[in-house]
Amino acid sequence: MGFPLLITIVVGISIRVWLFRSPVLDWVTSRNEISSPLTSWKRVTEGLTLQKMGISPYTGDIFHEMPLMLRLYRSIDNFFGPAVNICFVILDVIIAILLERIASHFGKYMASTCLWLTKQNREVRDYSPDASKLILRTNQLGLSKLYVVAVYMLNPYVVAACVGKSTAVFTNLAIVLAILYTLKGRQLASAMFIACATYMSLYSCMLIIPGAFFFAQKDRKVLTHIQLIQSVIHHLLVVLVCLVALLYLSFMVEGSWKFLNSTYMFVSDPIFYMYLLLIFMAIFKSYPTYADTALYLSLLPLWKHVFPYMRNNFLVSCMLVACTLLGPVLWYLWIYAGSANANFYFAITLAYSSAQIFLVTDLLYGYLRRDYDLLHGPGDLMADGKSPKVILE
Amino acid sequence: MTGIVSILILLSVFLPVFCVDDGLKEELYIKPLQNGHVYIHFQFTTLWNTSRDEPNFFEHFHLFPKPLGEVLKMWGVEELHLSLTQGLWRWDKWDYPLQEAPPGAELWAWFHKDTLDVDEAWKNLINILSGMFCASLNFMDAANTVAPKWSFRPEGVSSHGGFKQFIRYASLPREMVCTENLTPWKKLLPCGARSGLGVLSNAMKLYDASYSSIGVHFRSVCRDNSTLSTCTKTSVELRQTLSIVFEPVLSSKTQDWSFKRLFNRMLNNVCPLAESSNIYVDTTNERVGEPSFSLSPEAERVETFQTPTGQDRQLAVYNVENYVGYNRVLNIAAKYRTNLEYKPPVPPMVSAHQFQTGYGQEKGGVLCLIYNRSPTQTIPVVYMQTLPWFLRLYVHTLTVEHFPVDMHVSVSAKGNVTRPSNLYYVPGRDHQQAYFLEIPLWLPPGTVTRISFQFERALLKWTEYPPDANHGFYVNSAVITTPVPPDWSLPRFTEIKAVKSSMFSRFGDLAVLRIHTEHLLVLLPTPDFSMPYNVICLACTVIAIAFGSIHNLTTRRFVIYDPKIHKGIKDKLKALLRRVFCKKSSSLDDGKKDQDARGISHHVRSDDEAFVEKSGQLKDS
Amino acid sequence: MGLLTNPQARARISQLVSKYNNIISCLCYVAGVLGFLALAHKNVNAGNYFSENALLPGLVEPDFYHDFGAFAHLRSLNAHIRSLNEDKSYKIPVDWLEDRFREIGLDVYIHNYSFMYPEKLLRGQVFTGHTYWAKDIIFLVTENEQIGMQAWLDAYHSTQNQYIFAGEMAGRSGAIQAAINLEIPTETIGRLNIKPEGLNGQLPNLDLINTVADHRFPDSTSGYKHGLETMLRMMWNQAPGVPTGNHGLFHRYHIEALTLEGMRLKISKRSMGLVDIGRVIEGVFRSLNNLLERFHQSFFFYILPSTDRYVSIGLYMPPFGLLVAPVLIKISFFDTAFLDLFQAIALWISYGNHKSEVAGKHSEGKDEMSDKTEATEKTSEPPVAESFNTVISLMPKGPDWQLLKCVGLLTVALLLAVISVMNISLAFFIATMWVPVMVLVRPTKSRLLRFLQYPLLLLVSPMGMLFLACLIQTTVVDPVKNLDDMLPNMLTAVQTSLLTAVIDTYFYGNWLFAMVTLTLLPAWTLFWSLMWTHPY
Repeated sequence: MGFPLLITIVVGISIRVWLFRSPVLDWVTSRNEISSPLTSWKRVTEGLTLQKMGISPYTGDIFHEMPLMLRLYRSIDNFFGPAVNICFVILDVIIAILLERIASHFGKYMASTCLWLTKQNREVRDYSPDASKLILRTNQLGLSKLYVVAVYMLNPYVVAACVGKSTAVFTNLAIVLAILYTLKGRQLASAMFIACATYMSLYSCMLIIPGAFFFAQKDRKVLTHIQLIQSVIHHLLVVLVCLVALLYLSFMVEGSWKFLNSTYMFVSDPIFYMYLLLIFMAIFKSYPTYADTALYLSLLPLWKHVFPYMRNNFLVSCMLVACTLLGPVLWYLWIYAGSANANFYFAITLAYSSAQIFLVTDLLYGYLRRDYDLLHGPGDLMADGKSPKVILE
Repeated sequence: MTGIVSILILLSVFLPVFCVDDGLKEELYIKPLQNGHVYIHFQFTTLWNTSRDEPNFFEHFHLFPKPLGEVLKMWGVEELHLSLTQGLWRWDKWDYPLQEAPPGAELWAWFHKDTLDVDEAWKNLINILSGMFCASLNFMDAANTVAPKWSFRPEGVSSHGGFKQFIRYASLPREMVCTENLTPWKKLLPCGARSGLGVLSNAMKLYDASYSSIGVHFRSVCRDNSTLSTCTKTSVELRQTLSIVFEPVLSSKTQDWSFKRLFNRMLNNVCPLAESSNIYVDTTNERVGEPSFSLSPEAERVETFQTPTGQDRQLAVYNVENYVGYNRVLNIAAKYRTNLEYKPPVPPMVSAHQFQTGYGQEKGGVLCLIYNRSPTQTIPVVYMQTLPWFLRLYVHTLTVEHFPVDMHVSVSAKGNVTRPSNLYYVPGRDHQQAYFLEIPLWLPPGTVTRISFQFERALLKWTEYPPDANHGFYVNSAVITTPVPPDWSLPRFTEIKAVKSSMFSRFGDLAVLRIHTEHLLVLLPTPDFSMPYNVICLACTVIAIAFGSIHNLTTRRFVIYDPKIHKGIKDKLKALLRRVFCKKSSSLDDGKKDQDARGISHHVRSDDEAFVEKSGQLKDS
Repeated sequence: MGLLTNPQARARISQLVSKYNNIISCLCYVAGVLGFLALAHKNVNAGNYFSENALLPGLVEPDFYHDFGAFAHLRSLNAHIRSLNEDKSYKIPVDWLEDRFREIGLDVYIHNYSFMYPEKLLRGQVFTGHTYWAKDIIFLVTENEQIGMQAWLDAYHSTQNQYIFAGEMAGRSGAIQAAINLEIPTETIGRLNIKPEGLNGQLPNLDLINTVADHRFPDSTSGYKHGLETMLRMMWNQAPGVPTGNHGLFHRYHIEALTLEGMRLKISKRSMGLVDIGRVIEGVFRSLNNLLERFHQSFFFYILPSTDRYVSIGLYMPPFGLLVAPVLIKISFFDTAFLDLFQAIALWISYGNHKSEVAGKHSEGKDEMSDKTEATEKTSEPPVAESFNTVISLMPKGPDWQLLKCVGLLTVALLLAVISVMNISLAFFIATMWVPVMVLVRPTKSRLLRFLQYPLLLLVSPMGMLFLACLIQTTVVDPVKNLDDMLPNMLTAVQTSLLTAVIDTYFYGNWLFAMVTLTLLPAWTLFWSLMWTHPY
């Protein structure tokens, strides 16, 4: 990978390390946007302590992670000890590198392998000639690597999640791996990692469907329903087998099923579908944190070619920033100063999620609009010089 | 003849009924405390020589209160300790009490080893008792009931070694205790409040005092005064206690006191059912020289006993029978020679305080200071604390430190940290189980031990908040159990042979003292209770927006706007107007009509051109 | 979603705004300022009322008659202090106070703390002569006032302060409900002032102020002018977020607190003796004693034009909104189609040397279009420049000072929004100064305009605003006698205020200094640098 990538990664690492030694650390760690009951490292520590005391962490209501994860955390704890922060920095770097891989594979995927350019070449006769500037070029695709990595390493949300030691990072790792292997076309691996993600947070099971569709379409020119259903079922089975294996393993580890009680539109482009699902998970899951937002934000540049068709970027980004600023302030005023009541904070969380909704709808709109323009050509004028008004019907 | 025989037979049949072998002792202990307080302790002890293994156990009641007895029998209660307290016992100022109790209501009971379902028995017990004592004991549900492992031992003979599955403990710090609890307590007395010492229990004065606590204690003791281990025949004992701390200085500037002034009553008779009714006044003067106050009337005799530290204490003993009757009344009064000057209070050897730490309604902590002021002795204690489930206790934040007792330690200072060798911890579950912590410790001599841990507040469901949500939620006072400390200044059975009193033999074999600390008032983040409405409306709106737009985008396709098909609002309106008005005034509409026609045709033209051009382009490519 | 899916409606709106934006923003600004000042008028604001009925202020009949006792105590205390201060060691007579408190039967605890050198601090805790007291009352006497208070609060909640080392505390009570701080200079005073402003501009619950005001002598003077003066004075005190008395430190711990300040007897018609003050305090405490819940009913965000009238957040936010509106209008005036914050940040980072990059970009742009393969090889050129190119290629087509200004205005708007929630007064003062300047500032060729812009920008720079504040303080708020020592006073005021700002940050956690240096200064710098960009 190139020199700029290296720079961004190094800068990202230094930011994290500096934050780990700065006084804001405690504050960040205790923010509830970062460490929810499901992902807070404090609760993991509690779980480990309980285990040391010989009490099953699942008898209480504090610890909600899965048994295998608990094992993992314990080994991490033994290995790193007090320097567990480093572990999280390393994780972030790994994810960043994986994202870089994803970006490049996505480039290939768009450029050569299955859909975009071939489709474009195939259907180029359907395109209007002045759609030429819409047709993607490899260098633009290659460029998005840097964006992806930069947006991950320098994204305040990601940094916050890392410094706050949110265990959602592990889930993100699994999801990123799943996406990567899907792009690589390695069905077993992708299924396995989707299973892992599902095992850690149940919402990820939604990723099964687009994965299935992807592998259904993969290197088939035409696709009959039977084939589709077959491959979907096949994929589903693979994932389920992995999941069951994981659960049984954790049963072996824990010795009881007690942990179970205390832990749990189709567009032509499965990857895009997968991405949209990621965003929906981030919006609608019961304990959303910045880690979830960060994941899809850092994958956003993959759809750079859609940006020109999006109209609310400005609005959305302003809303996100405003919410990020106002959230802690209103939390302080409610919980500590006691002057503002819960409504204020609720309003902010609501604004935050609606901003994300605007983003996803806008992205979808842009995507579809671009498709339309590819077929009909952009901006052809009416006789009276007005640009045509394109509407949904 | 046959009649007489039959009567005799009848008598012989009913004879055992009438010789129920039980007795009642009435006792009153008065001790003037430092800085003008007076500690008063009533004790009514009913001893009944019967036991569970006898055939007619708890069948023919004589002195023992029937309603209570039946309950105890039905639910296999072996030992029962109930206390209803108003006010907090100030350990630093008032020394040790004869009967400790935390603020509010406290109930703990041992069940017989044959009890099948202890939880079920407990549930029924608290429901019946709450009815019996007009207290809200029925709130002692599973969510704040615990089974301590070390802190509580049977105080009498027990059918089992005192395993924790047979004990249940719960306390309600917020319980408001007042007359409606005192009256049923009086009803349990064999003589009620009509005669005997019970006359003095005057609610008007009791609940005007600094501290007042009523207690009911049931246990089974050895019939022959042998030790618990070598006990063959047992009998049941019911102790009803009433402890009050008055501050006579407040009402009148002197610290003199008398029955008249304290209770607004006087003794004019004895309870005829009582074997003995005695009054003991501690006349030991703390400072050297002659006793600081004089009693009238004179006590018939003064006993001297020795405390464990070898200090002599005088006890003026009144046998009430010799003072009342023949329209004589007994009104014991103490007259002080000097006026009261306040001195810094001398705290006892072992005492404890509990505070809440931190601020804000997100995280918090509990800090408990246990003092061991003995210069030489190391004292073993068991620290016990229960947190309600909505305060999530993080046991990994638990720290135990020892500091020198006289040093002014800084908050940030670190004492020498000790890892408790073994501790008993039960993590809580929402709505089901309280967080429970029990730590056995050794207090080094001359140290204050600082136990602290952190908790996190959970958000309750909005229906779970009480009407006065902003009052806050109470946390039980910590219970610190320790062997009776060496500076125990109260008489005990073993010291005074002269006074055959069961009051001072309360400890049975193992003599323990339970220090109840302050209870805590914790604020939880309260929602604005109009919020559900906002939440439902707004959240639904947002979701609707999300779903609507996604559905919109995914189910429809893009087309170029064509005015022929899609009429704007304006055109639709015009059409409507036309349809309405055309009949009435067609002439008026004509002009507009062809205007519209022209407008439309213009549109059409332009659009057609556009289409033509576009298709042309497509063909070219 | 209509607005979001229908591009032409949006276009129409934005056209409309951008056409008349200057007039609109002018109107908004003026309306905002005037509206805010109008809040002091009787017809605009509302009269105070008790939200918490448990306070029952009417049902308290005072029985505080210990006049002579109080005077005797005071006399002996004065005498004692005089005897103490023979050796010029102005410490509070700890032991004397301890004895007196103990004489009347209070539990007395002495609490040590240290911040540079060890200090003493004394508190009594009373369960006093009537059984109707349902709560503990704590009498607190501290040395070097705010530091002592902070130390005591830290110890009470056993929180840790980096610079004040509080000792472990012997005598504690439960959760504190309210605190009244007394500043009584003499035996007889003219009137009592209520000082509610606390740390970081936080205010106590309005009900507490009502309670005190209810037991206090009624506010004699009234009328719009007086109301406006009171309101502005309060906002002036609240803005810096520095407590106006010891009470200010309680607010952080969610304890409602205020200071009663006795003003010296001027040639005023009536005077208050110790008895009257005693009755006021007794009445307040009796009311608080009735309180079952924590103060939560009434307002926390308000401005007081007088002790019996208030301006709630619902009233003062609209004018403030108008005040800030020009900024938002100016943002929407730019064609936001090409704007997203991603680009904006990219520009911001790469700001320094963008011109050359822009030039470079256009050339590259073309041949990127022409063929695909070249760009992939192009990555082999010097990587730093390459990374800059990537940044630059994000940049909008339009003249980039607009983008920069847009970012600046956005920052200002967000800042003001955040500040206004915490400390409306500060937000108001900043907004009144910043909004017009920031909206006007733009790079220009004409020398005249530029020379007009310099002083304006300098005036609203943090330092400039500090000077201005000190000027107002020394001339308007408490004017000095003769004008020739006004300047030195002002300069010393500037120095001391800077120093105290830093000290407050470290001792009490005042946010002002951090906020100015970390947010206001960068924003201002942005606009300053904006002036130097090339206008094209």
